[in-house]
Amino acid sequence: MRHALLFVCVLSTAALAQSAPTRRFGLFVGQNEGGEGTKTLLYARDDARRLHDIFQRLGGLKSEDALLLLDQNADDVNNALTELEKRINAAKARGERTTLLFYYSGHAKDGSLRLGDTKLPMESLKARLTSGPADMRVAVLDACRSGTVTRTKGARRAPAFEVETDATRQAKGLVILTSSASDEDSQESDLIGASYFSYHLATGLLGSADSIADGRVTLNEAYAWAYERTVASTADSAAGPQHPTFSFDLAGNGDLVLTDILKRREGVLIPREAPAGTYFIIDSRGVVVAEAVKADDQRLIALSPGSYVAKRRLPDRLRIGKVEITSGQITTLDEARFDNKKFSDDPVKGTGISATWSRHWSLSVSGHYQAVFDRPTASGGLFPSAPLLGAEATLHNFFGRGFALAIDGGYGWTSSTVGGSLIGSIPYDYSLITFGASLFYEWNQENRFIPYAGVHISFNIMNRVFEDQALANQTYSIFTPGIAGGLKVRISKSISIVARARVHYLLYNVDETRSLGSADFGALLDYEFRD
Amino acid sequence: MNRSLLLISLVGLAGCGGNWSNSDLVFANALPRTDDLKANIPSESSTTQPLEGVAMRRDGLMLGDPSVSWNLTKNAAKDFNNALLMVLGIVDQVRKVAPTSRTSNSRTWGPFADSNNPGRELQVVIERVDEKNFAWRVQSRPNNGEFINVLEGNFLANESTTARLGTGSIRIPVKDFRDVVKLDLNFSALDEIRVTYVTDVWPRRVDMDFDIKPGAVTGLSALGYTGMLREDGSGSIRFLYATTKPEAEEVEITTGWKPTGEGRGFGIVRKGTSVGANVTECWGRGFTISYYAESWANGTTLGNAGDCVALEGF
Repeated sequence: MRHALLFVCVLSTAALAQSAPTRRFGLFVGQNEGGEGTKTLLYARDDARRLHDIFQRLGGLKSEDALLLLDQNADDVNNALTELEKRINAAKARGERTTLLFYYSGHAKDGSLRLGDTKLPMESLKARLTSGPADMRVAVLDACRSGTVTRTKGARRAPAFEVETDATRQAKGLVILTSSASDEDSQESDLIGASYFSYHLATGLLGSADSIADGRVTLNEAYAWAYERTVASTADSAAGPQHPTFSFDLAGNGDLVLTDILKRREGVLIPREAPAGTYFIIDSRGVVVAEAVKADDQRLIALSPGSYVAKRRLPDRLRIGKVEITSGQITTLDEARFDNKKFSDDPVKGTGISATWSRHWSLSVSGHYQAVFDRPTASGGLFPSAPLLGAEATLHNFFGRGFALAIDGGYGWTSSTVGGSLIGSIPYDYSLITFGASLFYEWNQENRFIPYAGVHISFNIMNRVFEDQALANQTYSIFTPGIAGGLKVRISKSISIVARARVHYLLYNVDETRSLGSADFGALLDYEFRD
Repeated sequence: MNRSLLLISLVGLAGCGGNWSNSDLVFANALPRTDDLKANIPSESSTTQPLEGVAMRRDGLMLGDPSVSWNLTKNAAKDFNNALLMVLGIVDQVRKVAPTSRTSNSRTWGPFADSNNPGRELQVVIERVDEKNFAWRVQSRPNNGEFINVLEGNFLANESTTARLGTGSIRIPVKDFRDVVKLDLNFSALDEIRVTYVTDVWPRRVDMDFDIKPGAVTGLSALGYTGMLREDGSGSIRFLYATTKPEAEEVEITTGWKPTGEGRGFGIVRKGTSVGANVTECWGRGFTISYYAESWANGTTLGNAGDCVALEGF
């Protein structure tokens, strides 16, 4: 309650009255990579996409005023801010009241946002936002140790948790929300497919945070919800609890409405008569996309159209029900029609990305066809094209996420003839043994369709035995460097089918030196050993 | 780590290469083969020739007796093939292994230690004279000494969809190396062997001539052979042999056969007091005499000449 009182004070100064027309501008930045000394994040881009989407659907942000930067560098962010500032100045010149929303999900280290290999010092960002032209600037930083920015001069740090007031005077200034304190890591979760803070902020903006059930989620409500849920979610985590922070430098008062959940009139309604408790909404991937704490009032969660599963967790079982949300419709949840399920039937599967991106082995069997770039041997060519059977062992994420190292072997055979004007046509049996290694990168391992590309080197041992036993058998062995690419299609968690193509350089140097090549087209059945 | 990489690289490089060569096949094609040149006579396994002993108990020659010409043919073919094997045995062995070295217009096998001549080495060299002409030789030398030719050959290849068609010749100048290379007794009794062959037109033909060392006795049954094979599978062999009889010092015998077994033989005195005297004998599928005729006065004639099989060249 002490926190609540303090936050009242803050927002009495910071609140934004809604009487004047306000034009909103938004810059949403998601960057999974943080450069040297950081691990690739899994969901930073998704976080930015999600907030970008929510503010466009429910937050009064026009699509042309909402910039989304994914995997961009510090210059790109600065340029985007410059662009928005121009637009803001133009809007102000037209007499419009303006709000700038700046959202960042990614790495932060040593006082800087880490955008790939580039850095954006938090101090300079803060200074820019502080002096920016928008009447109201709201910055949300979801990054490790992002609380650093709220400890520094220029903004007063608010207590961690407050309750809004009914202040109405239009506010001007800067509000900064951060996902963690200055000495804390910000954590992600596979079950929710997001960082904890951004997930809770997002689900709060969808309606979970609408504490007075007036159909509008204010900055205060969103922060209060995100704070409480983030702390609770991370309390038992290995990295320890994560405490979002809030700071402001404002004049005036009135609360800032972030989202209007009634605006689109689509989503799921948990009616007043539904049992109290926490309801989780799970999407078709098995990822929790929203959660709502139902007390005495009804709860509206403004979800996009789609198929969902709602879940309530009771001490001894789960209550599970399907939810279909159609465009422009609010679906009322009928908890009485939920099914009882065992805990083992929990529909929450999570993204599985951590397992996917962990270092793990896979084994494949393959059938492929090697076509040699040469004349047919019957017309004087050197090596025949042949089908092969093979096997491959791959260590995924060996050199980092996405990078895989594989070893493979194969055996091919065919019957052919070698021909020429002086030798006629000489039949022979051809065999090919290959030993290879490849290094490649797999994109979107968490998806069903996984393209990959890389380099491959093979040691080929070729042999031909002539039907005419009076002729000496011939062999040739050579290293063949090449490139490889393919598309893996998951048909279950562990089993995939892969279409693959390789192109190799083949040097021949017995009779003469010739540069040949081969193309290899194959299909693989792949089994991944993952947790 | 660096040493490991170096080792792996060296092992890998050592494993690279091989003997994969279409050109090797062209060169190997220029070497004659015993199987291509040997005389192929009908098999007796499916025929019903009477035991020779049955005929021996009779007085005089009778129709139905085992054919003398056929027996001569078998022996001549056997000797002919043995002679070819003697000449081409080393070539047949060499072809089964990859060349030791290559240039753009030559292939060399060896030198190898000559197991029959300790202290000596053998090598086979084929040179491409022009697009279709090949010259080859088998050479012998004392270890690290100078090579001498023990076998010389040429081959003019014919462009064809069938391998090894063309014309060729082989010469073995035995007298040039008889004193330094240990030889088979039959070889030692010769001065020179010459073989010519034609495999790109019908009939296929192989001529083999022996120059016998003056005064020497050889186990060979003839002074020379000519073997022919026709497209329909029929064949013939002509051989010349010497006798000690004054009336017939040199006799030329030509026998021919159908692939089904029946055939005929013609013997004529080429040197001696009875020059021109000749005998014709025909045999049927059972390799028994179906016709026999002596050309001289009071010579025997058995059967009907119309029962003889018709053969080209007779």
